[in-house]
Amino acid sequence: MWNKIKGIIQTCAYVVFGVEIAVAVFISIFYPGASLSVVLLWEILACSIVCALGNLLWWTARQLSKVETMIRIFLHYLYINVVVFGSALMFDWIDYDRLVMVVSMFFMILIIFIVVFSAIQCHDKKISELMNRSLKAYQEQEEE
Amino acid sequence: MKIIIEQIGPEEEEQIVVRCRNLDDSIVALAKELKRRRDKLTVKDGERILQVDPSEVYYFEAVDNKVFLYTKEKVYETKWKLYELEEQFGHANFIRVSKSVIMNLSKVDSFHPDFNGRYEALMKNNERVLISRQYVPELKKRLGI
Repeated sequence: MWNKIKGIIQTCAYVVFGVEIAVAVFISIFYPGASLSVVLLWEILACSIVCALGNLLWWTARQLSKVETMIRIFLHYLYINVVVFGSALMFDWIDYDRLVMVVSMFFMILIIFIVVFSAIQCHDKKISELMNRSLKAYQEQEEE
Repeated sequence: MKIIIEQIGPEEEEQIVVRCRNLDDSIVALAKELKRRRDKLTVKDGERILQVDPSEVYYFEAVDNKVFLYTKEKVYETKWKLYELEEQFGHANFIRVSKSVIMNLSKVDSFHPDFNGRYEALMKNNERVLISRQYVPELKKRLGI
């Protein structure tokens, strides 16, 4: 259970980081010179936590195949879109009448998703390199 | 040195007692060798019954309530349950890496990341074994990470 919580916290941290960058870019483009309310920080945090909770929604005790995992990742991406666009509507982040804003947000979510996904893959790659070094040492010790 | 072999009844537990003045390396090696031989796994190869040394096993896999044992080139069926194998060999080089697989760490060539926190082990015979996310912490612990 602790590992799942750790995973959610880790994803949440990645999402907060990504959303902060997206918000900075978004405001710089569409609302240059705007002053921000502290409430916005709480809104970003709430949105990020709900996005990270998506990890739990698709959790299953069954071993998933590679294709099932890919489908799960795509569903998670759709879930994040719903959460972010829902938050945008609820907190009045964007003007839905301006198509360019909606399209920009869509692409930002896509870019953040790719960046977060790549960051997690990089982290896993580093862990596997560490595991390979330890494996070598373990096997050498066994042979002695 | 006297060697005594006693025949015992089927209900009695088999045992080997070594009585020595000094426990030197040769006695320890002998004890290890005896234990290793006793730990051999009985497997089915068609109609034949064979004994396989656990050190030759790459991994065990449970498929449809049957447990299979994979060596470098062959696959055998064993009567052992996966949890029994884990109890018997878990302290050695074997480790549970998913609900259905127990893997021999000494037969792993390298680890590679899969999706979503899962990893894949490339075995020395080029087979690939999936490591479930929930078993990764135990594997890291075993490797001293």
